[in-house]
Parts: sequence; structure tokens; C-alpha cells
Amino acid sequence: MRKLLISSLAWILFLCSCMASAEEPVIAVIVSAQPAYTVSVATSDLASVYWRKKLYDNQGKPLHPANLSSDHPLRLRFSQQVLHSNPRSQVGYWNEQYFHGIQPPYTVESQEAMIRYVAYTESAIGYIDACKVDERVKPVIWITANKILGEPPSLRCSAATP
Amino acid sequence: MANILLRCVLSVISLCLLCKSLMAEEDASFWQGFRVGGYSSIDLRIPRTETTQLKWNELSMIVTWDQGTRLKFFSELELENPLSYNRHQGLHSKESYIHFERFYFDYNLNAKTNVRAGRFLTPIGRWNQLHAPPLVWTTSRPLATTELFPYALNGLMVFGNIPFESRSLEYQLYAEGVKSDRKERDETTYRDVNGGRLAINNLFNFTSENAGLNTIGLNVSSFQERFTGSPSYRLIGLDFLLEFDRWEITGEMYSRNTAQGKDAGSGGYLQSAYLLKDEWYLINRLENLHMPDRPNAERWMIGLTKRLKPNQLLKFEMVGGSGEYEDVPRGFATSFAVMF
Repeated sequence: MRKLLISSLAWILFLCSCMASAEEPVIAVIVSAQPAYTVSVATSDLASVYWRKKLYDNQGKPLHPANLSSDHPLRLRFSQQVLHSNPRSQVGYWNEQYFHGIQPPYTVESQEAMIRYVAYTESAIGYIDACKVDERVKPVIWITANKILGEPPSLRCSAATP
Repeated sequence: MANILLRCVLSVISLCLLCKSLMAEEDASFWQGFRVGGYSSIDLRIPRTETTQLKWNELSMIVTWDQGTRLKFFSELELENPLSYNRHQGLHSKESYIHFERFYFDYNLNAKTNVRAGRFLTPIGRWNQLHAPPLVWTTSRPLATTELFPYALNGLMVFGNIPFESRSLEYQLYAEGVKSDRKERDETTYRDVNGGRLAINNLFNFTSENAGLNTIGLNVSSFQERFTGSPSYRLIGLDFLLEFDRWEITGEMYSRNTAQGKDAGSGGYLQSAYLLKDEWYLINRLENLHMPDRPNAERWMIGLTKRLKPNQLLKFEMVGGSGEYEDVPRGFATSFAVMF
């Protein structure tokens, strides 16, 4: 009886974790896979890069962060976890930056557009569902439901995910 | 008046034409580095003790150049008070003038250090650095942000951003280099301006879905007024921004002393903006200003502001309190501001 209870609980926990990961895909922060276009990004710098507080990398190359559109679920999560605010509340901030001559990150409409932008733009940084990473881009930071990691977590990508 | 307007319009047109014609002949990427924008605002003030006035406050043109190198350029040319109307003087442009509000070059030294050279807004507090009407919730400006320190200087600034954990430390250290003798406004002018601002961003590290920006800044500055025998002033100040759920709360407070330790003024404000519905915000502000040679002023302000579009604000406000200051008269004010 006790064994049955423990194994049932284990199954429930396993199912819950599967459901949670299905709802919250791991986000991969990506840079170009091409050596000429790639750039290094530290986990601690990610927020500064997306707030456009850090405009250059350590070699003096200008950084080009890109966002998904403001209503994209990955943008909302990225914004929440990395920037600690939602895109709607950032309107005032970006107006302020515009006043100082600083443009917000470039916006793309889809994850495929993000891959193309990052792959072929020098020092570009973007983010997509970690299961959609392909050979054109290189993941450098991973964002799970509650952590920002410099090492890849174990991914559960379904067969349907390209 | 016509001359000033004409000059401003011609400047914009000639700059655009210049860019266009030369682009064909020169390296296109150089000219593609330019961006032109700006802002403008108009307000109606009905003070308790003065004449009602309708005013076009400014037409500002911002030109930036960024070609993706370590060097960047920024300028803001402003036509101040192009047109005013009141029942005594009618429509006039007696108060209009053109000036360079900002004009500077930025050079990136490394990932955490940049140098700015030229004319720039004094990095004291938040309001002074973001004073453009489309960026602030109210038509009137807190007295403490205009009366206690210089609003701009010509010189050098070292600035940067240092991330740590999930926060970042922002620093700005500045020193006046070139003394300007021009007095462009009816306001106190200063010299020997030096100081710094340290700010911590994301201080509280909120993780809730309703979280927003939060910043706290510490300001230290020294300067003199531009007249012989002026005392040296030392100013310290604190500013903060806190966004959470529907609230935005901001504040700044300053204390100024002479080098001999005598009281030379103090003041501050506390402001809240609360999102009601459909981009309508309820604004409240309390402020005070103490200057040794003038009567103390206290102000309360209650207002409604509508964000018509991300770059447009429509504002209505009532200001009350004690003490008369021409810049912030007590009474009703409404304004429209747009950034383009």
C-alpha cells in the first residue's frame, strides 16, 4: 500500500513537472553561429544589454539586441524574468531613452525572423524557444521557469518541435 | 518672430537636403547614421493671481549620429517660447529664442566606461535629465528641480553601467570645462560645476507580474553662481523611482549649503501617478522649497493625464499652496505634448 502511494506520488510529480515544462518552454538567448558575427554575453550583462545601458561589448563592438513583438508570450516571459517588468510598463522608459538618443531593441515578429536577424547581424542578441535553436545560431544563456543559466539545462523537446 | 520661425524651418530643411544630396556622392553609411526627431508642447495656464496665458512652449529638434562605432553625436536645438497669447499683449513672440540645449559627443572606452564631451543636462536627479514635456506627467515642474542647481553645463562626463547580481550600478561623474557667458533664460547661471550621481537600478528585484522599474540615486555636486563673490555651494540629494502594479512613485530631495556650512536652500517633491483606466492617470504631487533669501513655498498638485499615444500626453492639473514663484504659479494648467 505504502509503495503504491509513493509511486503514485512520484508519477504525479513527474506529470506535473512535464506539464510545467510544457507551459513554460526554456528560452535560449542566442547569438550568431558565424564567427564573424558572434558576440559573447555574460548572464549578468543580459538585463543591461536589453535596457540599452550596455551598448558595447568588451571589444568595443556595438551590441544589437532584438525583441519579439510586445504581445509574444516569450517576450512577456523574457521581460518578466530578465527585466523585471512587462513591455507595456516600459513605454515611458523608452521615451526617456529616445530623448537621450538611444533606440530600443529592434523588434521582430516571429522566432524564425529572430533567428535570421541574429544569424546575419553583427553582434546581435536575441531569444527564442530553446527547442527551436538550429545551426544558424548559438545558444549562450538559458532561461527556465525560475532561473537564468549559463549552462544548458536538460531540454524536453517534442518531436513536433522543429 | 517670422524671422525666428523661418530660420528654424530653414535649418531643418537645409539639414535634410544637405544629407540627401551628399548621400549620393559620399559614403552612404556615414549619412545613414543620422536620425532626426524632436518634441513640442503647448499649454494654457490660468493662474490665480496673473493673466491667463496660452503658450507654445518649444519646438525642439534632436539630431543624433551613430554609425555603429565607439563615437556618437547628439544635439538638441530648441526654439523656446515661439508664440504666446494673453489678452494684454495679444499674440506675440517677444520671449522666443533659439539655443542649443544639448550638444555633445560620446566615446565608448570600454564596456563599463564612456566619456561625454560638450554641453549636456546636469545629471542631478531624474526630472532635470528628463524634463521634456512628453516625458513628465505634469505641466508644471517641481520648484526644487529648477531653483537649487544648474540645469546644464559645458564640460566632460564619465559615465557607465556596472551590473551586479540582478541589479546594476549606474554612475555619472562630471566637471565643467568651458565657461559660457551667455545667459539664455531668466534664471540663475552657475560656474565651476562638478559632481556625480550614483544610481542603483532594480534595487528591490521585484519578480511579480506587476513589477516595474525601481531606482534610487544619490547626487553630490558643487558649484558657484556666476557673479563675483558668490559663495561655493555643496549640494547633496536623493532621488527615486518605484513602479508597481498601477503605481509610479517618484521623488527627489535636495539640501544645499555653502562651503562654510551655512544653509543655502533645500527642497524636494513626492509624486504619484496611478493608472485609472484607458491610459488615464491620476497624478498627485507634494513639494516644497526653502531658499534663505525668499519666502518658503509649499505646493500641492492634483491632475489627470491621458497618454493619447505612446508619444503624446494630454495633461490637466490644479496647483495650490503657498509662496509665489513665476515658473510654477498656483492655479489651473492644461497642456499637450508630443514627441516625434
